[in-house]
Amino acid sequence: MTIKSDITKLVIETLVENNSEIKSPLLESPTSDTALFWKDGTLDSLELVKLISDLEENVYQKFGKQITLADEKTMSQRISPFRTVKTLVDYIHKQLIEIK
Amino acid sequence: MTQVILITGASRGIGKSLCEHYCDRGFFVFGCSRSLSDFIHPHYVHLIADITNEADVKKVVRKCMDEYQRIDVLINNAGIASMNHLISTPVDVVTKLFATNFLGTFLFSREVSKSMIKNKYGRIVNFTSVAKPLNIEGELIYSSSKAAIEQFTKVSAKELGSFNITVNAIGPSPVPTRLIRSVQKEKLDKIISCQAIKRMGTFQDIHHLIDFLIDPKSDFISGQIIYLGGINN
Repeated sequence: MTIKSDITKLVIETLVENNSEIKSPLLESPTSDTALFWKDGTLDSLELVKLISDLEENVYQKFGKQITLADEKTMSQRISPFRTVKTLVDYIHKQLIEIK
Repeated sequence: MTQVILITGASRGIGKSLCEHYCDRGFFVFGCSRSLSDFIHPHYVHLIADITNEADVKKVVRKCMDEYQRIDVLINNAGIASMNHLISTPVDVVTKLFATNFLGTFLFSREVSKSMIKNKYGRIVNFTSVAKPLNIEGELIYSSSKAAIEQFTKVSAKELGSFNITVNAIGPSPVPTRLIRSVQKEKLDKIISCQAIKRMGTFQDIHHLIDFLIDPKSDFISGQIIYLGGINN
């Protein structure tokens, strides 16, 4: 498995776990194309905050690296890294590479 | 369950007294500061960190999480003061003071609240000062940094409220610590004369208020700025 597929699996598992509270049909079986935040996204800002907290912890447990999913573009409808599962995976991947 | 508390600025003054107080009350206490602490207790762990450094802050929070998997209470006590006039204040003093007082509070609040969100419980107490409501001349930058902390307290209380996390700020009146050792007696007397209760504050006054704010039963008290000594905004 590549790192990206590991990250995708982790993001999807975290989304499914969080969906036990969110209860969105769109997050029952998320894929890379699933919209998260903005546009057709299913998460509100509070659910996004919860997802960020859980993902940072899960990434640390899985990869042993502390990333910070804080980005000035978070709230941007056009370029937020939280638009879809794929953009989020790319964002986490970039951060993991940048950490020595 | 024994509560886990993280206290910044823990090596001396109010911070050290809080570490002693909460160890005595049976909490697991993590204290951090730039320097070593001479406080030793079976429930106490001291961590050296620069609270203005994001990586240091993340390391401190990770240490607490690795040990106990949660942080129930955060006390953002660390702070520095500077007495000066607008005209004679160097830029680096403003940068350093805002970095310690405001940026440090922001970084610890952001990192610790992530674990609190996960656990759906948290109490955050920030430190303002009576210098802010009293608009004291000569404390322009210090009181401005405390004004920023008050606003931060009110808005973060709203942003974290739905996760059962409360955020409040306390504003001690002058307490005999290193922070005020260079303040002239006349100035201290002037501040105390503005209080409803005209005496110096004590560590116990601060402990008592924080005990109240971090009590699990205080879950409907958030976004509040409470000054000691009977000062109002």
